[in-house]
Amino acid sequence: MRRQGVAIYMGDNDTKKNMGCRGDQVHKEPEGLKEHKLHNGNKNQGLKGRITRKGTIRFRLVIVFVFTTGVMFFVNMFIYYNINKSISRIDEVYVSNVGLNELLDSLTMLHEYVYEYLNTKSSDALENYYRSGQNYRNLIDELKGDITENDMLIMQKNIKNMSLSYLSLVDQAVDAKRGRNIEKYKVMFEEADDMFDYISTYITNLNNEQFKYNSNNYELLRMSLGYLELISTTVLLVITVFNIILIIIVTGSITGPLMKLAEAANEVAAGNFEAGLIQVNSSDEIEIVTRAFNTMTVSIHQYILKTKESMELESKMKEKELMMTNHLKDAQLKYLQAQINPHFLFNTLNAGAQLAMMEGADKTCIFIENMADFFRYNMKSFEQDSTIRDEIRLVDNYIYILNVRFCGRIHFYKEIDEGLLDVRVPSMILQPVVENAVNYGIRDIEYEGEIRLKLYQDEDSILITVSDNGTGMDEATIDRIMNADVSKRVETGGVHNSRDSNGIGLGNVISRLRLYYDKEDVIEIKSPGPFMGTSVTLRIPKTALGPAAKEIQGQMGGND
Amino acid sequence: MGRLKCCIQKNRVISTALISSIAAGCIIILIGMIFYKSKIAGIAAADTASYHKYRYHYAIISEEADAPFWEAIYKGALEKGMELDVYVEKVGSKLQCSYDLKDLMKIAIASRVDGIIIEPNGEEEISRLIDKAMEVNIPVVTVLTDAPESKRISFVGINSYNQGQTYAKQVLELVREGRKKITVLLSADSKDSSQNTIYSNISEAVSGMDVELDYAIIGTQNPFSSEEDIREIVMSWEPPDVLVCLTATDTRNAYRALVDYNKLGDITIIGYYDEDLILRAIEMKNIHSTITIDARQMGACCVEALTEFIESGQVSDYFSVDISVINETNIKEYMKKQAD
Repeated sequence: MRRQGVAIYMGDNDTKKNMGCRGDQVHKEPEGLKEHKLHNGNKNQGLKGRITRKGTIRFRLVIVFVFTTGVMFFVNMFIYYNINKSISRIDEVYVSNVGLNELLDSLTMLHEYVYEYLNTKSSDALENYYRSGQNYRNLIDELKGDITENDMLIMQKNIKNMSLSYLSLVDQAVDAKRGRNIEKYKVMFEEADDMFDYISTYITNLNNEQFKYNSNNYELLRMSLGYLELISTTVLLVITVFNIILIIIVTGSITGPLMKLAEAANEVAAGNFEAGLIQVNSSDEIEIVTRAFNTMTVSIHQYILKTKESMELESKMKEKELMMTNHLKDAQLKYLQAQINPHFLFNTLNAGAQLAMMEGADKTCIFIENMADFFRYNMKSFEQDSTIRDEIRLVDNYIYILNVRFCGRIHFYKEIDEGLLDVRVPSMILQPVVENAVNYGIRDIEYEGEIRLKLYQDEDSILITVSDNGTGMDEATIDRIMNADVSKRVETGGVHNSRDSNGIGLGNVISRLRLYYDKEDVIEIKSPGPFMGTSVTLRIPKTALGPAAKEIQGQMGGND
Repeated sequence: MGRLKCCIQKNRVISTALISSIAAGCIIILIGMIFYKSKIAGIAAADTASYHKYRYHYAIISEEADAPFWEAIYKGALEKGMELDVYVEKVGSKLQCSYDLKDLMKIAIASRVDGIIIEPNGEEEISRLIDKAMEVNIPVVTVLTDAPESKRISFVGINSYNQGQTYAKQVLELVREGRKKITVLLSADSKDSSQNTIYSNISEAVSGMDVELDYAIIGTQNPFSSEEDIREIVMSWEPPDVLVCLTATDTRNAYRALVDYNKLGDITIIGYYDEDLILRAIEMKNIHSTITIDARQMGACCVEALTEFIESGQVSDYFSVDISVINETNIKEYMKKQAD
């Protein structure tokens, strides 16, 4: 159950972490991209406004189609106008012939009525005569009476004048008939008959002349219609070519950017985000699409970068976790190696203590008890955090055991700030330091060895200093200890695992502290010179435990 | 800014294309219209075209209106008319049926022209019609032949006596060359006295000489009768040495007959008028000489007389036209003058 809970917690933590990371990344976004995005947004807004006014594809297409249709319409109008003109010309040409035929018919009718009246003297014929006479007068009024060099016009004039003479003759004839002047009307009618003959001849002649002239015109008209056809076809062809060119230009201006866009899309699809950004200035819908595409490309690029970064971070975290677990496992393994059978050892030690007490050997008893405490502490509190107080007690036990072994050669001095004793720290951090001071500092010196432990604080850290007056360390050794790779430290830790060590070693402590507090400067080693001692200071931050420490706590609990 | 400029440039391309195609279309249509207009400009109804309007309208009437001699008279009249703002119409020349002189006269009177130029054929009816025209205030001028008993205002013609003298001179020249048999061709329908005057002049000139003077009547009933009659004379047993022609038609026919029957060396001609055919014959020495009058001057004279009468109410009764002789000595000079 507990394991499950932890797992859930961890997952939660994970997400939180990721979220946190993402938030960080947003702020870390490259300045250039951010600007680009902003720029795009502004542009899109401005563009939309402009596009609604002019230059849209629709507007352009409408213009082109309206224009081409208009031009075609205009050309057709032009053609029809000319055809109509030609037809009206033809009408005009032949209307003169029609008019002359009418004139001749009217004259013939008039002459017949005159003859009829003179023959029968009927009032019907007289009435007809007057009517047709008036009709004929009206018709000849339309004839032109100008003197010109044109034969047809001269003929018209002659016809007009002869008709007038004729009319006066027939009037006289009719008057004579009504006045029963037989002699006169006979002569008049004879003259009128001659005149009728002349006029008919003239009209027929004029008709012929006009027909000849009109036939000539007809030929010209036919020719002009041919020309019209040619001109119209040429105009239509040229206009069509122009229209096609125009349509090609306009559609080109529409499809060109689209092709560019498609190419860019292909580039982006191939993963080339840089080439994906395209410049457009068509100021139409395509520009909107292209800008949206550009923005999208940038966004996708950013998102991919972010994902990559967070994945890298995650794998780094995983690595860190794995390393920490490794260290713990390593420490545990070493501890277990050192521990043969703790219960058996405790029981044995307890038995030894009881035996000493029974024998009245108090010192031996205390020694054995101290030893038992030392090992018990190791057993009990190694896997969880402890307090500085417990750590110092462990050091006391260790020193006591060592002093028994080495006949009190180690002088141990403590300078403790009592208020800091209950601060929680990772277990087994102090004893290895002291052990180090004993083993490398004061073991081989000829004079009295001293170890001083000082617990104090400054503004942001709790400081634990273990100093000796032993052989000291050279810079190279300090460097090696401080900067040794964790895995190497693990290995070297094995080498330094001497008889008097609990097997943990200084390197292990440094690694654990660094991982625990997620800080590099957790330890400081100073040595003034050979045989002037060494001072190791642990720097425990006062701030609440960092997330790494918490996690390690949790994990240690989970691994229990 | 750059973007805006680019946008404008892009639209400029399109607008340039638009404007240029509009312009090109307009130009093409305009060119087409102008081209078409120019092509159909020649097509117009007779009465829609504008012509110069003349003051007066004269009619010129003759039975042989289409003969070259008459053409020249008409041409002279027309040219003079242009000068005086008068249009001279050759009545009946455009008609399909051919009217005789009196019909043409009637037509001219009925057409109410402003003046008539006529070559009367001596018929009484013509004189009557001339009087009728004068009655309705149409002045009449006779030309070449006169109608002395009519009320015509003026006569433009050749002095027959002078003409006869000129002919006589030419005949004498030939007689001196040794020609003996002379035939004068007279028109059958000529009722005036000019032919007689000419004939008597020639006869007077040769009287007392060893010359056989004769005359032959040439028919004018139909267009071919003149040709037939002349041919008969040429083909007779004793053809004359000299043919004296008093009309252009007779001269032409006589010359053709001589060419056709290969008589050019045997018979020579004294011709009348300066037709191209006759002039060429003189140049080739096939015709001895021709008597000619200035036909153009004659036509011009008629128009002048009519206009003067209309405007002043009176005009000289008689206008004489110069007579000249064309023979091989002056033919080149004459032809050169003609060409000019």
